[in-house]
Amino acid sequence: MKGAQRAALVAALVGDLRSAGGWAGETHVQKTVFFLQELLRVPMGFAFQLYKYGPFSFDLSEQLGDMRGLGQLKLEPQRPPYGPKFAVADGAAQLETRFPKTRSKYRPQLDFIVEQLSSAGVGQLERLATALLVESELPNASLDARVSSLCTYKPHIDTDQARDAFAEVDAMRQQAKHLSLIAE
Amino acid sequence: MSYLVYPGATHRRFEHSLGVMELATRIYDVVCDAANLTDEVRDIVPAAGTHARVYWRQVLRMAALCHDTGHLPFSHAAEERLLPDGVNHEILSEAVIRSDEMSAIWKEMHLDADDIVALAVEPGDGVVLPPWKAILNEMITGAVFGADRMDYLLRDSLHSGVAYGRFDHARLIDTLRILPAARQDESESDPGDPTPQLGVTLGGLQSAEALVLARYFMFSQVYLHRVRRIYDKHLEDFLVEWLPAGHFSGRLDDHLAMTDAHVTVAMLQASADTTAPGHIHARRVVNRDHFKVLYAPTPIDVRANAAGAKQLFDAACEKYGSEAVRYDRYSKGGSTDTFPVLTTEGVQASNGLSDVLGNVPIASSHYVFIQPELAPQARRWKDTNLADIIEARPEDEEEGDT
Repeated sequence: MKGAQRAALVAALVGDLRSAGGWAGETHVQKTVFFLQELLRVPMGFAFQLYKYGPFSFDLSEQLGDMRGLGQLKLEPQRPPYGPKFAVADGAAQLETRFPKTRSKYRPQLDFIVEQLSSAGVGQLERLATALLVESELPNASLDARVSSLCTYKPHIDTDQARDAFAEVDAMRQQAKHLSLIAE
Repeated sequence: MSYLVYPGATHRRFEHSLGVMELATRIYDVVCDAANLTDEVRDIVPAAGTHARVYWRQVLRMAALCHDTGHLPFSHAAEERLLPDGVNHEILSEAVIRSDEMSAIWKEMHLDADDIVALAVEPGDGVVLPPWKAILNEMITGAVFGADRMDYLLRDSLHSGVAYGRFDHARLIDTLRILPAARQDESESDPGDPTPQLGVTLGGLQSAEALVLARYFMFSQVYLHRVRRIYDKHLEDFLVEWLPAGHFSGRLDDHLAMTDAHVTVAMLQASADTTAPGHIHARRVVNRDHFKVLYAPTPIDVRANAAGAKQLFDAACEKYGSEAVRYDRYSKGGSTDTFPVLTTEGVQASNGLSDVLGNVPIASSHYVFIQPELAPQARRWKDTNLADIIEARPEDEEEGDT
């Protein structure tokens, strides 16, 4: 997928998250893109690695900065103590003109992720995204092994929280399969 | 290549590395001072007078000294295209630190090379540093308050003569603190990873603003200067033709044997020899016969169509040939650059306290360059056809294109 196509999807995602009442800070955008890409197989091509609050993409972080520079996204400060939120800016309108097919093709996936994660907070996003990452690293491992791995990565997450996170990710996956949202 | 635009910018990475070592040490001494620690982070910092406190200070200094040893000649100008897959300057820096020669030194100093590597380079894929090492790494490589950034802004400002790169680094360092990460959203009971990060007291906020502004000015005026950028392109083109296999080998021995001086001499020789590989590109640099700006989109152009300049580049290639045109697109700016600020009401996110931080523009470079001999006619062609060429239109949306 071209960089500008990715921008079209990122802008659509940010707009949808905000419309759904989501906070759309950087962590929110990072984890929802991670789920779009890794759970629903939307081929956005961002490289993720374990970092703050779970999987994080420096490519995506650069993309977000680039989109701010191009006037496609903007940052809105929040009342302390909270961090800023992303919002769609005037320069994003051109992305609809340039990539109508891409936006239309992945509209169902965007809708699904926004419905599932728009109200998730930082802690929940961290648990779910790290669980999804562990699953990709240990595809054939037992649940106990995955829980152990997650808790090793994130010592502040206890085993019960980890188990719940894997269960929730699995439920999302089953629902996505039922709706035929996972790209081959 | 900045010295070709700012003649005083001839300083080297060695003095920069000394500067990073000095600043990182000052940061360490300030943030580890017991008087500057909050209860949430006190336990992660080794106590004063302990072996660990002294050990990690020395590791930090050595990591700061070695953090850039993996950079290629002319560093960032050369690295994007000219290293083999899987090799970058951080991998080379690690190789230098772990080399036999350096290992003998670390052994004599009773330092662990693993610890030095952990602090000297940004964490790689899958690497999660424990809180103390993460803080130490941030002291050198941190996106906002890293000593690397502080030093290069101040040093490059001094040598290039660009005053905007200066900021009150002494005041800023005095106000640095290890703080819990600032809250992001309103889920107060579920804040996620509590790993602390570097922040400032409220009194240091203006110094932090000055640092962020300095970065913007230095990028927009020096690092992304249009002439500097086209010289980077010509250098890259020369290296592709001059280097065996069209890229650096990525091997440590080869890396240590190649310096800026080798490349400069090679360009001088190639510029005078019409049969030498890279002759034309070397001549463009040595004779200052670089390509000229054909088009630089305005902010209004970009908001209407961010791909407009690329569309013009494609059209110019079709009209004048791809060898006569170059395209440059680069932006520099972290996504949010938010950091924690210690106030009388607790730790708060910087962007909520500062109008400046959220409104600093993203420095960017966006040009279409043309061969100087063609510049007059190309500009006339551009002026006649620009509106049609840069209009936003549906693009090829086949996946797999990058």
